[in-house]
Amino acid sequence: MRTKGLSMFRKNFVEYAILLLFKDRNDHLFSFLIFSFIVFILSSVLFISDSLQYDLIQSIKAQPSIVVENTRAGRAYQMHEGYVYDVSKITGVSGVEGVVDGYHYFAQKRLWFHIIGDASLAKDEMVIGQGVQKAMAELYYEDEFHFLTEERLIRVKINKIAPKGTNILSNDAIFLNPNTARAVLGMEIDEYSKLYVSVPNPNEVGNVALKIVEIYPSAKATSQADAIGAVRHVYYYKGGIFMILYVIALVSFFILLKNQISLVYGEKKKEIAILRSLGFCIKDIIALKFIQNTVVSVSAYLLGVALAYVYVFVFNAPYLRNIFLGSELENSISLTPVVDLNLLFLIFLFGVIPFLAFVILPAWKIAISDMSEAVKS
Amino acid sequence: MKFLAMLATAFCVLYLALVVHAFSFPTQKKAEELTALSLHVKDVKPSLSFPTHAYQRFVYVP
Repeated sequence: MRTKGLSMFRKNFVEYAILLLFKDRNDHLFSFLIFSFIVFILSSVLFISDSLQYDLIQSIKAQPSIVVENTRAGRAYQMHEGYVYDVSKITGVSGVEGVVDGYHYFAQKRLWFHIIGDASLAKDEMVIGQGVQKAMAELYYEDEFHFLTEERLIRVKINKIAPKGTNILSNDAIFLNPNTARAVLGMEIDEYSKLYVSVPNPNEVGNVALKIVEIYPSAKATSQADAIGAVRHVYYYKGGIFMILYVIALVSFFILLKNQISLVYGEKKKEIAILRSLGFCIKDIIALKFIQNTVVSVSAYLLGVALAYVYVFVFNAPYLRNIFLGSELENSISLTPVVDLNLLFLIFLFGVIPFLAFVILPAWKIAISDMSEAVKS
Repeated sequence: MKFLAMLATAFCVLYLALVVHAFSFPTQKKAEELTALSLHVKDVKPSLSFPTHAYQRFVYVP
């Protein structure tokens, strides 16, 4: 009986808190909207970053053990057959493959296309990414494209468009037969841009990479683990910048919130005094404010995260994705839904909890002050 | 209480729709396409296109 009475009292208490929330809805609307917006922006950035990282790391798994690139005067420089022979003689190496890879400047549109050698293609055909197709189509290159080099004009048929799902890798890419790619990039017939080195024993990869750099000090040997590390670094860096901006925005918001709440509660001192005189103790007043602001902050958080999901994974993050992918070449990428629950929990912890603290402290301060003065006024 | 129940139901429906979207996304197909591509292009580089200052003074674009 006593328990039923207590639960009825609690139910009425919660209803009263919600009723007060509706009465003061204009005061709470400001904090609700700003907090939702902050959560929305941070969640969007983290969703984009996680999704891109996920796709890239999936693709890197097919990468050879070591990728060797040569440099001269700090710039990428081609390698010849001698490099292939020397690297293949290192103990632990089971195979070395030379590949052609480079960038072609499409001057009419001021764009760089990524040229990739693909031995499965014929000499006069190519596969292009969707961004490349759009850029070419704007200048009426629909069935074939003319590569303008220093020596001659090279005509190549557009054979196929890479599927949309691969846009993260293929949007700016043109896949050409290695010999055609050499002609476009101005390379000799026995020259390579990179070497793919296969090392069957994963424990030997580090040693082999060191030996390659010992033989050719100007070369750069990148292992699969280094490539994954580089991808993570790029996206952590960009996500980190947003995290700093987020912290600044959140702190400013909380200061603003505290000032606003202090002002509002100052005006409502009489209301609190009446509640106290009706028999509400300090604990009840704090509970009242706690219930109201929990509803506001949790709803704002849930709405912010849901809107971020819709913006990123349904609409593919227009404008914001350009920060990660660039905007020179249109990229109609479809972002894979990847949601990191740990990060969302962290946002909750560093968003909702300080929100409640900043709201309840002024309420407590007013509740413990002398109420007789407030009632008299 | 009625308001809280309505709010909870609205969020449940919203999040349910998001879960349905996440599961209906062709993740498997996209992974297969990426794997097929990464067999040709083993050293993957993200397809980025940031503005560059190279050649800008010498090129005229309509």
